[in-house]
Amino acid sequence: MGCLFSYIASFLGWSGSSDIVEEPPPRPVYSWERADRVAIKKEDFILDKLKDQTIFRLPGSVNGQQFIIQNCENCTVYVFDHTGQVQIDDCINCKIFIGPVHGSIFIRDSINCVLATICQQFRTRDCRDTYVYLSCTSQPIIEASHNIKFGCLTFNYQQLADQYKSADINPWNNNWGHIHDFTTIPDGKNYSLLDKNENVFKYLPVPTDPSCSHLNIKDDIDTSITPYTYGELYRHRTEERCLVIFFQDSNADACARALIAMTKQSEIVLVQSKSYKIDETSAERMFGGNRTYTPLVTKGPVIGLEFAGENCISICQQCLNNLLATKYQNLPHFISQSSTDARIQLDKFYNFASMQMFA
Amino acid sequence: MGLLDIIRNLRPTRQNELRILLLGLDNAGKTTLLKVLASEDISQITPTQGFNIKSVQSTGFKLNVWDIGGQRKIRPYWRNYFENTDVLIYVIDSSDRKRFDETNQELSELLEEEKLHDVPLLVFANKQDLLNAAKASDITDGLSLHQIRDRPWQIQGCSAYTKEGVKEGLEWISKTVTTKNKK
Repeated sequence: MGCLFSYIASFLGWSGSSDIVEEPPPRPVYSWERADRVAIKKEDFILDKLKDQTIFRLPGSVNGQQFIIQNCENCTVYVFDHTGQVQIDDCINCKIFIGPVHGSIFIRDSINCVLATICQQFRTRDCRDTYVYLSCTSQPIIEASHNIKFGCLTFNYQQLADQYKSADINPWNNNWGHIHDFTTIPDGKNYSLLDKNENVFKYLPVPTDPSCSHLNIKDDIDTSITPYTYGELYRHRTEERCLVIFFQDSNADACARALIAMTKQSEIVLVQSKSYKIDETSAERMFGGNRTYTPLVTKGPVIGLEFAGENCISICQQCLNNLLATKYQNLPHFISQSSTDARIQLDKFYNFASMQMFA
Repeated sequence: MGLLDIIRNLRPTRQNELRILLLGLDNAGKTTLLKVLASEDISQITPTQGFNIKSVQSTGFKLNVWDIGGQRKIRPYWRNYFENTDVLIYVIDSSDRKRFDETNQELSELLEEEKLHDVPLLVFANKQDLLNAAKASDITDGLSLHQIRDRPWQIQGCSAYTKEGVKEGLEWISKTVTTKNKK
């Protein structure tokens, strides 16, 4: 009888003793398994097989979700919101604007399109004859693509500035023309860079739907969140350079923008801007033995501006002094004093950024 | 070094190096995963043109994690990194349904490589946080993982962005490599 009982007990998995059997810890509920997340319908964020349509998504309607546009023809799409990762596949003759993308935007197997976007990464594969307007915080890449025209995206609408923050995108880091091509061709290039006068609304239709008139959408340089930079259009030109650095401060962004606006009255241009947190070792190398700058870099990321043009150092100094005397007293800053110094300082400024990124 | 500490305590099979190889299509999230393993900032990640490597020195040996660029054009170079691999981590963008066949193809070819014979396989079904993500169980079926007989394997759904699921994958590696080295 005892034998039979223990046989049945073991069959049923009962322990013979009264030891407490430990259960494995419960698996965590992942954020994507929670009820409120499961309730979101992915179909609302996918545009598929549409033809000859114009589609709008207003602020708050996408709210950081992934967005997909595929198999569309002759469509115009405006997404005036921040999104998660974006995929654009197999589209022909489409004109697309996507607000700040948290992560990558990847366009594939598409022809004769216009794409304007703000993103952390930009990628293409198997595309051709396409205009791309970018504010992209990392180096854009293309693969097996041809006749891609890149321009600097200048854009603003109500709530766009907040959407940059939601997507964790810094408008001072734009690599729009610094392209890496994985499939270079021996004679010629798979891409070209658009001039400053080719604004995005030259190729992307201006949205006219009454639903977005209150957004006050503009592509002009003066009000753009991302400043216009010449980037690779100016890289190899020999004009005098000047580096201006604004250290972490609540007024740094406003002063940088005011300086850029003021210098427009002259012939000097903004080649590049960059914002990153300079570490202390790099700071010591950047600013020679001058230790006054070291505590300033520890407070947070700086905003660096590279200007170019004849006499740009004296022009920048004049403009900056004007701003510091009137509106921005005591704003911590650095500015090149001579053109030889400027070249060296710029090299270091960009190199330290790369080194810290790949450390 | 954050999550890598979980596998720090392992002893490598040969030499003084434990090699982990991170492969997968471009845009799968390999570099983001690498940065997460090293507890580093992930807001400035750029598409990988060559490869990235993170090294951790532990008592008696070195742990190296190799993250190799996954664009179609540069996949032929993957074979340069096969030798002496102790663990293969294959990363999939679970939300890129258009390329499931492509990633399936690449993984199948990897599993037939002589130099990767016997190497334990961890598949990270990444980007589970995205709306269009397929579940890890569906991906398991699509990749026919249950047909793998020649090596230990595991699939783990994760999000490198939120860090969920990553630890669980590393714990499997830790358990599997320890068991393998005891034989």
